[in-house]
Amino acid sequence: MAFNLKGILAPFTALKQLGKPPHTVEYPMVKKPTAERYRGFHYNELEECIGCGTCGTICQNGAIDMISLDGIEGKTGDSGLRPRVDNGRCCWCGLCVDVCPTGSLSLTQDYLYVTDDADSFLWIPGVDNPKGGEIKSFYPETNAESLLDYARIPMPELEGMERVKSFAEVVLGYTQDEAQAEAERCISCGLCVEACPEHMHIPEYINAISRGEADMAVKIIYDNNPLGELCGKVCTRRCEDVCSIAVRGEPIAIRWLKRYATEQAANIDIIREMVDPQILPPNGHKVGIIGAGPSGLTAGYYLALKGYDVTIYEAKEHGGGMTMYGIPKYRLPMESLQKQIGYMESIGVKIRFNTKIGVDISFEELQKEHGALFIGIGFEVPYTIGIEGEHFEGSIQAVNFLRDVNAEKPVEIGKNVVVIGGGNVAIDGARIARRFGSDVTILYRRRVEDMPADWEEIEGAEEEGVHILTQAIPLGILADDTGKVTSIKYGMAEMVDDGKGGRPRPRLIEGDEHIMPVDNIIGAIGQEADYSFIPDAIKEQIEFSRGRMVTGDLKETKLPWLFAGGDIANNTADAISAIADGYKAVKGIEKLFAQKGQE
Amino acid sequence: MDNVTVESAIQFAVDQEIQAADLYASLLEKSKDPKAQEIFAELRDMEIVHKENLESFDNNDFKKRHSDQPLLNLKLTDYLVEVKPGENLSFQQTLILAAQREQKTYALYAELADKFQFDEILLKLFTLLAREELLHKDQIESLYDDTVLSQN
Repeated sequence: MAFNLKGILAPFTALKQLGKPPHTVEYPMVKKPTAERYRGFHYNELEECIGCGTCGTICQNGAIDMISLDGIEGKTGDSGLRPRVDNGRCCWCGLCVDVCPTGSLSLTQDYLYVTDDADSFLWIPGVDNPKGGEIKSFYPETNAESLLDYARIPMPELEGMERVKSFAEVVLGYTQDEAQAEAERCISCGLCVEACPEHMHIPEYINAISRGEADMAVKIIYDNNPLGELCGKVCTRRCEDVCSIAVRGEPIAIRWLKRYATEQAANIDIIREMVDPQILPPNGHKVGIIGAGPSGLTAGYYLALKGYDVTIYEAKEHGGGMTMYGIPKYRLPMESLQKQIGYMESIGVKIRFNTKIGVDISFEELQKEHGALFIGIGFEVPYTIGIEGEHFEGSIQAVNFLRDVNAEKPVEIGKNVVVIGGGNVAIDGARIARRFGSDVTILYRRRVEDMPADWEEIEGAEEEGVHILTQAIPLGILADDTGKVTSIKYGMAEMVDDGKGGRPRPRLIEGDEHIMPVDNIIGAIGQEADYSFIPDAIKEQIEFSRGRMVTGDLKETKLPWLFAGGDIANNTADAISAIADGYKAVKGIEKLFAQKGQE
Repeated sequence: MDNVTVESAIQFAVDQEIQAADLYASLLEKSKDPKAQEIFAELRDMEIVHKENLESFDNNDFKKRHSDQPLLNLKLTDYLVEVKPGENLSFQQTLILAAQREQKTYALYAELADKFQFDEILLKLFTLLAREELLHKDQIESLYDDTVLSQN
């Protein structure tokens, strides 16, 4: 019999444990701690989530769907939906967290779920575990840990002081590689589509660009915007304001991508080839359009595609409206606009230039000749500054200044120039004056953050040497004996609360007045429409509100045959809204003729 | 206005409102600008409401009539060129005309309040009327600030 030492010592080894504290797992009262980056149940910060649905799109198991929740309403930049996770399908890979552009979605240390419903695995993160934010364990703490690319491909452009030497286009455009790289940043959430007044197919054309298919992108763009290149250069891009990537990074350069794609269509023939427009046979209906601005051109283009006999009546020599005569050529070259308008003419849109309604042809005549009329005349009449001395020589209006410069008429502008206003027209006037070698100061009554101008334009103006003097109210214009402007008197303003939650208003500070020597004063405080061409009897039947025509969803006025769009019928007064109006009016006009056909 | 009573002072204010309403009504007739027409109609209606409010005025109104509504006083009328009533005024001219008219009426009531400092009731009444004119001017100046000066 062999000696068994282990057998002798074993009881003593067991006795050794008697002196130690008990080691009891108190599960489920106390849960076992998880690893630092444990992937437990999802948690969602409901207030930070914008309902983009990227989590659901990337989920390889189809475990996430987007649902409506009580108390969460959709709004621009937020679909109002929130993710719901089917824990029966989830594999906790964490891809949904890695691609969440807002960082609202995370995985937690929580792994215990008890229910008496054996089939219930559906989990609404943030609702079913409202305190999950306290035990977040797997989430990208920095942008670098995310699968998304938050940095925009920079747009090459001329350097500030180089720009003021000419009217050359400031923005140089993406190369194909740059455009593809920028397009690849897009997660196709589609929140931008709702924000775009025209609801352009943004994710679709960006995807086409990312695949290197610019021609397909152009075709998609032209599906509901015949002025894509114009928008690619000067759009107010509300789409970018709501880009989900912008929550933690720089928004996708949607405008610049559209610009890249549409510039690939270098001439009218290439546009036709890329767009391949399907033009329906003539339907015998005639539509007259007053004004060849963005709204009128858009209405004309899509009506012509549908077989309507369309004539646009334009008072000026060229089409484009304020985009032709009000936007400087360093932002929107004339050739670009003429190419786009030329393409429209090539598919059958007739434009009668230099034709002023009420002068060359009467409104009544137009009414008689056409089954429907669309008015898109824009805001071209400037408000005066309204102060003493505005009539002196050297005091001019920005819209007239821009129009003359764009029409390549001779303009005289002095060394010291003051521009009054803070909108895009003021900034354009200032930047153009810089190109004529002037020292330019913008006087603005409010603060920089209140300026309605595009922030990139404001930055561009400052880079080009434009000085912006804020909270400065023009009080009077002074002149010499010959009536030539010599200086401007202005007073400083304090910002006061309007008591209604609106933007603060400037109030003149008594006694804080100054004189600035100037050669020219350029007024740019705003514009309005000139309806004098419409007969009084017609005007009385149209409803106006604050100078704009009141229209319905399809841009119809109170007169069934009369439609209106653009600045005179919306409050946003930008090109893309005008394009959207023109597009809606096409549906309204189609409906009108369909109803006529049934009568 | 030496033998002024509260009743005659109110009647004076009512007459002011009637004159203003008549002026705006006549300018509305002459205007061809739909934007100006809209404002003239609003101003005419506003003055009629003011007139009706004054006609139903009683002493309790001293307490309840806008005494706590803050004044903005943007002072736009101080430096905008004077606009005189005329045919076919623009929207911008219409607003300036109206704001300047309210300013003048305010000045009139302020002067009357100053003149009747010895009479507590009349002082209170003219001060109240002056303040109401300033509130009306505020409304018009705010509209001017929101529309004509939206880009400035």
